Amino acid sequence: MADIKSELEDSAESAQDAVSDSVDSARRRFQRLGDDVQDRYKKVSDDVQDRYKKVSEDVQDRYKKVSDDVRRGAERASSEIRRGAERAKETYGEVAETAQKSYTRVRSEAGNLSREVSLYVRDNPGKSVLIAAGVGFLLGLIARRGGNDDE
Amino acid sequence: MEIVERESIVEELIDEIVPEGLDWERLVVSYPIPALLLAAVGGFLLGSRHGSEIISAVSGYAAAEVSRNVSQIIGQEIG
Repeated sequence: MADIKSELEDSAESAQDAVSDSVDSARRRFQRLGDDVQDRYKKVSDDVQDRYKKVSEDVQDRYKKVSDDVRRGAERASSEIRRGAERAKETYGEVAETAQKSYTRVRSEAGNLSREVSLYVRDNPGKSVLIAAGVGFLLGLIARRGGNDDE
Repeated sequence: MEIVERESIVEELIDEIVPEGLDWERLVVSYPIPALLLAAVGGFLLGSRHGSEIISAVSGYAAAEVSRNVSQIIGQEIG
């Protein structure tokens, strides 16, 4: 009876040891699996983070490049517009000045002519009236003949 | 002297044409450019309406004067 008891106790101990070993083994495996999953997750996460960072830097570089290009183009266009406006202003000023000078000269010449004609008419009233009427008469004659030729 | 005579002939002619009592010389001296324009317009209307009649009359008068003068000169030569 004592033998059976001791045999049972030995069996129970060995079974306990076996279960304990199995549990330890399973725990170690789970531990390894967990570490493995954690490592892989970390690796994937780092990889995604690196890629995101690279893409972000690339986009930022391109944006900066495009922005610089646009800024340079805008500055060049602004400079050209400013230069064109200054040139147009100078040309306008020159044309306006020339027109003003021509107008003043023509006005002065017309004034002188009118003054001279007035003086001549005051000195020779009858002759001037007769000349004007004669010129008008000839013009009327020519106009009438032209009208008759057309008919 | 000749110029003064011609001027007086012109003035007499104008005095005959314009209505009596109208001081045309004063008007022309006061308003020279409008007076010239008015004279030119009057001449134009006269030329366009009765131009050929006036030309014919002047030509006839000139021809008659020339003929009269020639006859007078020939008469003097003969006489």
